[in-house]
Amino acid sequence: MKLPWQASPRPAPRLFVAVFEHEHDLLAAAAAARADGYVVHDAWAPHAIHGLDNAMGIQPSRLPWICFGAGAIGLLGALFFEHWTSAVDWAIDVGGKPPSSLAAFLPVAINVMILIAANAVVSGLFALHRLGPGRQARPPVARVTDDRYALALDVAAPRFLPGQARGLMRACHAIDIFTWEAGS
Amino acid sequence: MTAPSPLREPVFDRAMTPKAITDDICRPLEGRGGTGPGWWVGFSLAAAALGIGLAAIGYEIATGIGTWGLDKTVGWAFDIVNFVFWVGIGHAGTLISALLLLTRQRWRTSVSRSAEAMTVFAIMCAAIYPLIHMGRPWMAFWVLPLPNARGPLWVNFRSPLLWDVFAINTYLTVSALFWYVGLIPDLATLRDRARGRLARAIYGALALGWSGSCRAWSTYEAACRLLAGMAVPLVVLTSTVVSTDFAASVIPGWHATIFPPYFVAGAIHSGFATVLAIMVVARGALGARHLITRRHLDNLAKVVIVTSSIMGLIYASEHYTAFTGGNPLDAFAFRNRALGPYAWTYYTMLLGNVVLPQILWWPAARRNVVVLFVVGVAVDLAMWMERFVIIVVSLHRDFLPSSWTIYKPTIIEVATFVGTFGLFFCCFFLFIRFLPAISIAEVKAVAGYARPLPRELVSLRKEAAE
Repeated sequence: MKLPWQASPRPAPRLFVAVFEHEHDLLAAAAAARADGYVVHDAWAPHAIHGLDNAMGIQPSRLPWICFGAGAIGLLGALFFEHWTSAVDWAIDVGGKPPSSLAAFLPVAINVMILIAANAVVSGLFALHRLGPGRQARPPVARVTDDRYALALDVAAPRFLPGQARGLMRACHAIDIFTWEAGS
Repeated sequence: MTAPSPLREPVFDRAMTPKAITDDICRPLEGRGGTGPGWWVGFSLAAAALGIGLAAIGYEIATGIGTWGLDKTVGWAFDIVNFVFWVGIGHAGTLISALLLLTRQRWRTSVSRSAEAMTVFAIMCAAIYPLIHMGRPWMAFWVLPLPNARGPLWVNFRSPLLWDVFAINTYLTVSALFWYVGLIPDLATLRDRARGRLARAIYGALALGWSGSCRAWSTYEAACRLLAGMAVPLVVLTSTVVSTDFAASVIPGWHATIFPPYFVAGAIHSGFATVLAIMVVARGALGARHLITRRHLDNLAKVVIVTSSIMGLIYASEHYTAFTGGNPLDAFAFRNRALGPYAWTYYTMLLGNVVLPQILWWPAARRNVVVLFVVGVAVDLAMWMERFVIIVVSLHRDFLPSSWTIYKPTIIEVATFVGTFGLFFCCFFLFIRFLPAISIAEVKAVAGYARPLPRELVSLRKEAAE
């Protein structure tokens, strides 16, 4: 039986893959390919590359919203719970302090806010990119976690021209070019 | 096609290919150099210390808190001193990582991983103390607001001691998350170069299927920035909450509004000093002198000058307030620190925290690894003394002279403290043996800093294509 996160919802697309030796070659190739109207499926790199988001046209991540929502739930939930336990359910007089005191409740509430928001950010990262225990990594070349950079263009995209794409990638110093079934 | 930037010094003093970076950082993990006999000696010593600590804790739990040197006057001593000490050490990791990430300090990449690991281990050491101080640690869950058969009788959310429970647990969780998320791409690198089937399976499971996809990298970087953005206020909050354990009481020497910034500055001071001392040793032991360069040590040393000077300012203002504030109890508490029976702890604290680090103003001292190591260790010792001065020296002469006392730690307390060092270094030795002590992905990202702008590249490539 497959667990929910093990199911693959998307069919594997056919991709045109170019492999590079330098990050600036990948950066240039991604920007040039997009400028020529190709659809950049994804790229692979051993490290984060500054400026590649723009070159590939990646939209800003939704994570900040997840973080904000989870943080708001944590903050308000903790404040409500502190008020309910300290002033409603069983109010106990401790040294004459008021049963419900926002100033005294804030340290715990801020901690709970950060705790829940941080867990939501990490869970969000895992969920958005389907990372999890038991998941297999399927990059086009294994060395992308070491010293290779790869760019994949969508073959099925309407403006894809194999010959010209090949020429463009060669001009960007691609050291290897091949067609690849993602997930194979 | 690369040109040196006229604006900033390169982080590393030689050019490195990504392949060379992977190989250099992974070498100690793959049983070739780095973790030779020295590692075994260090690990055995740490394990022995941990064993001593476990025996002491076992004896204490079986017998009771009476095995400690506490009495009715000094009700808090070694346990809380060591708790605050370890919490302080645990602050540099997240601060180096998170604050320097947000301020885009590229030199952080070589030291952030070990500093984050230190944070997690130091908080583990700190968490032992409140737990065993309960006397019946199996009832530790009583500090959590759980429904219970006593009413339910809820915990007191207006008490700083309860804030501590939340602060320490949140800090440990968020620091561990930050550390682990940072490790994922490196775990994937290790998975893909592992030769043994077991190593590949373990690193593979921990890497969670990371493939290096740049769409994932984009979200990953957003996640790191968000975690960093939350970790920085959390560092301040955690130290502040620890300080309110004292400041919210009415003991002269504790009841001061300067305590929150005082504890935050002290924590950063001891944390950076620890990172400095450990980096001096680790860069040699791991063969990583070209990755953790003199420039890294120089930057860490400069931070120590700043924090040391802040500590000096705080000590001075504490005394100024005590002697001009018009409160005779406060004035007595501070006179007792400087002239009482524990004066030697006070002067050790001043010497190590304020006087000695001033040597780092000289560039020659910042280039000398022996000086850096000695200053790092001296600051740690002095910061430990500072907690002793704040806690024990404020308590031992209380409002009633007939109950004045002199506190001495028992052998059980000393053994427990030795045990926490054992735990810390056991974890650290295992960490450098099985996980990359320097972030492979982050070092690669800054090694190629001298890169032409994408727009120029695109036009060049397109011309070539036509």
